[in-house]
Amino acid sequence: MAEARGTATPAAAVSRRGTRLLLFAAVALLALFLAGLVTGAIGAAFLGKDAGLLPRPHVQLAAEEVLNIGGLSLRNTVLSNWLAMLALALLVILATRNMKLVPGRLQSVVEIIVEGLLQFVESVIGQAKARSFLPIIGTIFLFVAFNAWIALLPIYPALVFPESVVEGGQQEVINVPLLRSAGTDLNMPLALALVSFVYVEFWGIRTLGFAYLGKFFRPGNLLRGRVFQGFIDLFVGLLELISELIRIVSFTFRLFGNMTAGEILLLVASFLVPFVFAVPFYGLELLVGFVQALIFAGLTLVFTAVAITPHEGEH
Amino acid sequence: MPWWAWSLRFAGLGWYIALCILAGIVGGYFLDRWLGTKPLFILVGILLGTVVAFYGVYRMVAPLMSMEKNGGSPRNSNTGSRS
Repeated sequence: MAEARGTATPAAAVSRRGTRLLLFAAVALLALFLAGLVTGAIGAAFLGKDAGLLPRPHVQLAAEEVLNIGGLSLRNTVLSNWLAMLALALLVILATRNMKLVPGRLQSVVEIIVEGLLQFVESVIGQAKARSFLPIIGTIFLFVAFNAWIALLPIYPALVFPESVVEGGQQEVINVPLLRSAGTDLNMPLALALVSFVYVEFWGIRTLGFAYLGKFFRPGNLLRGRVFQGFIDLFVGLLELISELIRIVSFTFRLFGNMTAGEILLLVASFLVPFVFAVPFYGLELLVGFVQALIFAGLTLVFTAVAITPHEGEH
Repeated sequence: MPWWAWSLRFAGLGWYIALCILAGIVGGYFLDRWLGTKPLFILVGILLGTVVAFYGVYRMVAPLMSMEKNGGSPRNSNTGSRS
């Protein structure tokens, strides 16, 4: 009987220890949540205190200036952008430094990413052309995703410098973050949208030549003397042109809006209830970053696929 | 093209409609100010913008509708690989 107990005890002890650990974690989380509730802005409002643990979040749409060298201003979003580029470059360099046929851990992670992207491109544009589209589409995806994810690092809200501003007629000292998610600066999405736009048009012209421009300018019927049909054609071409240009706007504001909303959501969540309350939102922002990267890259890809498809006489 | 690519193509439709109508309004407003015919052209602009927006949407969705009618893949889907 003693022996039986001896064999049964370790497993039971492990499971009991696991349960205890889980219980401890749950209690700790609950305690942190309650502490956050009391010390945060919500608690402060209920307890009649002036302010919570964290200063009131200062939301500014334009990126803050960090450095100004002879009129050239360096914004915190640009710094973050460089950081993301550095991280991406380092990842790729480290992964490809000594490549093996049987990949190591890092190499296989990067291989999974690249192969996944290749499959993504293949599914839209076909296997034959996929490899010539992968570089830009993959870069857009990784760039957007890394820029979104890197801003979730705890150093982002932690690295701040004080700056006095005048708000509502009174002097106030606010903490300006040294780093800020690049997507929250309208310039980054706009630049990326322009790259995507130029890329789509470039492939359209390269594949179809002058026939591609025929999508926008179709004077054929007008020159042949059919005035009414000719004007309809001109109008339709104009519509195509407008929808092409509007894509820049929609690309820009989709990314900018999503990134900015996420940033503000995190700020407000951690201001209202500090500590664990913001954690689910961080998870959400991970997902949002991935989805936005997928959408940006996917849209570029789909419109390129449309642009390189020869269009028939249309109706 | 896979099914999700088709839905992605229409992701900018909202902006298209909004900006078309907005362009009509802004154009009408300035035309009114120039000619002193407030509020004639702003109303015409709204109408024109709406018509243009919906005609554009119709043209964008037309390939998808013809696909549904034919019960097959859309006419310009020869870039798709599998499926």
